[in-house]
Amino acid sequence: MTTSPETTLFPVDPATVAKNLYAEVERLGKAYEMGVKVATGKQKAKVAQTPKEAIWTLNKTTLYHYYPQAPAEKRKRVPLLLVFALINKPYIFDLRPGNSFVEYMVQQGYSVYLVDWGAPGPEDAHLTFDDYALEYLPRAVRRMQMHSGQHDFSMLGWCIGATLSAIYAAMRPNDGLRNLILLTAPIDFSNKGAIGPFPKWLKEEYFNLDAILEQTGNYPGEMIDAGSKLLKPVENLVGNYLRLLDNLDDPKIVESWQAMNTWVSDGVPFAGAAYRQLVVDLYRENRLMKGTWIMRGRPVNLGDIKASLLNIIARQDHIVPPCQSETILDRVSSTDKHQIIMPGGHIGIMAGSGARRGLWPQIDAWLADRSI
Amino acid sequence: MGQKDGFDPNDPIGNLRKARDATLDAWAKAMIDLVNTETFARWVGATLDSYLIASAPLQQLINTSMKTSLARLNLPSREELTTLARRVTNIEMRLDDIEIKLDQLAHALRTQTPVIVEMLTEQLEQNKQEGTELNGMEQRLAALDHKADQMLQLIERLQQAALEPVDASQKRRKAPRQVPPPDPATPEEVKEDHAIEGF
Repeated sequence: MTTSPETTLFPVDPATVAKNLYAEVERLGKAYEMGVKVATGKQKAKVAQTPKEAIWTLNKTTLYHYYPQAPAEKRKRVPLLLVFALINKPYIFDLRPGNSFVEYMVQQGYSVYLVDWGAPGPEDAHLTFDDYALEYLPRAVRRMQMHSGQHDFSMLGWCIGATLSAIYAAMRPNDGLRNLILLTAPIDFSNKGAIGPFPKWLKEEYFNLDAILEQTGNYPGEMIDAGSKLLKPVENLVGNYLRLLDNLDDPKIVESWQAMNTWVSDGVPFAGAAYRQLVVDLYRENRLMKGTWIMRGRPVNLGDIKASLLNIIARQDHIVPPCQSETILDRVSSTDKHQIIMPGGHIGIMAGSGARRGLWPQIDAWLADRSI
Repeated sequence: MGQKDGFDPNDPIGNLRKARDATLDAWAKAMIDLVNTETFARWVGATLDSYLIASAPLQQLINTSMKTSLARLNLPSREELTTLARRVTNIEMRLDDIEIKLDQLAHALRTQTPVIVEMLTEQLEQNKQEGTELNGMEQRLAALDHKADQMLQLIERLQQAALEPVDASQKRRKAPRQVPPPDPATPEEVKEDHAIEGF
């Protein structure tokens, strides 16, 4: 059989075309079935599955302890406290079985504790960073020390949880904090041109903070969610759902997508007074880095941080760009300090499918020697 | 365009998907640039302001009517519940402080009890040893006491013996003397008595 130059350029084989179309129809059949399950709520993501117990509560805050899974001889002495942001819920640390940082660390022999700030109600609109870092967190630490029987402990803060952890470490350096891990910590807001659209959106002339908080009390979770999604509008509002549609025939991908989507949509309000501090004291005035943020009558001095420090940065982070996190290393007094820059985004480095082989072993390697 | 560029003439759906993704990528980059502009920031601010201006009267109306309705039904208002919730949180904090102090106390008791028991045992042992020495002293003291008693008894007896004659004469002196009855008065004496009584 001879072929013309045109057919060589586009060698259409009807049989292959038919086969591909048939495969697509077959895929659509499976996808339809799964799509119905997802849409009707019959297929739900199982999140936060690592066994745990609540050992302390105060107002909306709960301290969880994860049951040890490693044999006694493999267990580390120094407990690890996880502190998440005031945005969304902390089960991102324990997203789903097989893709859970908590599960991984428990299996490595760490005694893992987690602070869940809960969802603030109208009565919590007055809560500030001061309250979270210097009232609730020390109490949670005290309870953890009592429960674990250990004075020394490690703390891992993520996002605003890292800011809270840094404040705590600076203000209470003698409480037993031995190792501090800051994960994508928003600390330095000096480089306003390079830290994404948030500083522009939150400018005083555009963003009427007082009017919003006067009406809402707390900053609503839906507004936070909308703001985060607007950072990458096409990816978050269109691409994300197309990714699901393309993979509806693969239960593993659907499960993973659903787990992440469940977490992303599971927002909580941001306590009004704390949100005001985030916008004014941090984004607009950069007080933490300048050393002019006064809490309980004292300035927060990052130079007072003495614990061993591991600072983790996500190279493609569009929520907390690297320049917000990297400069803290020059400010602290810690003699033992390290920095890791990982490829990935704000959430992906810790909760993505590659984290188990990427970031988690690095955290474990750094922490293991310091947890004996 | 050939297969090397990702175009596969035998996979029309795949080609559509690739074209869609390429378009979305271009849109995504353009939108990221757009949201980074001052114009977008101003638009976000203006949108929020409009929302707040539109919703404020409605929210105020809801708040006022809710407050009135709750007051008529003799139910607490949101403000009252908020105040109450804050007070509960304050109490919770105090309880937390008390709880931790109790725990610390219990912990201290648990950890210190064996030490205290050991100390007490040592003390008891020491006391037992000291007790033996004390017993010896007690016996000597008892003997001394006994001797002192004997001496006292002897002294008393001596005193009694020495004082006995004196007592007998005292008894004699102290016995009531037998006074004879007075002689009956003579009539003259009686008269004299009456006369004296008149003064």
